[in-house]
Amino acid sequence: MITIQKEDVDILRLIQDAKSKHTGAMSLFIGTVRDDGIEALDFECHLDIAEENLHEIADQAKESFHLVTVDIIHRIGTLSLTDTILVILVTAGHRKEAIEGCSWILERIKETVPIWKKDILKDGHHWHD
Amino acid sequence: MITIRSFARLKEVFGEEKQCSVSEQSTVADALMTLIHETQVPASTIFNDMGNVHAHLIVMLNKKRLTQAAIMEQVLSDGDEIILYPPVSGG
Repeated sequence: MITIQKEDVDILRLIQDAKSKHTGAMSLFIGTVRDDGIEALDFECHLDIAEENLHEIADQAKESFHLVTVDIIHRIGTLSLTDTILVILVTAGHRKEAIEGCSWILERIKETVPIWKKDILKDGHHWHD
Repeated sequence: MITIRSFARLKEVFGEEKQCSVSEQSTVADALMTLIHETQVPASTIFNDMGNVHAHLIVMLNKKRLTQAAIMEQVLSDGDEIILYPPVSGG
């Protein structure tokens, strides 16, 4: 599953669906909203380009790190403290590919995908860039 | 007539979507300068001191990302869409 959505993510379900006797490693990243003196975070994206980019990143990762499955779910809209923002779940034959592939995907998302976050403060807001 | 779409903090400066009429042989940079004039914001919002688009901004033409050279040289056609992104901050 590779999607951008407002709804929360059923992470346990995602893990269950990705399990396979053909893989020996899963690597999971969950990004959450940290309290940096903010009330909430608001995420905006350019949806069609962003989803296209996520699919390209997943395909590249599968090839480069021999990943078997890649799930990427990024949430948008206003998210409260501790809410889930981003979930990346990958499976591979062995731990090295899984861990490195998951990390590579995360960094690529942060560098290239047209998603933006805005701090919601008590007295206004502030864009990250 | 071309369309210029802006996202995130740039949307708050230029508006989400702007229709701009540009003369024949206008480049992407010309259109961005027209946007600057029409919204009466400092040119430094988009351009640096040397007249180039800030390196941290992303400019796309019909959903294809442009290099700095292409921004200055690419001639526009009627109906083109320019997209202006600030640096991304997802994840």
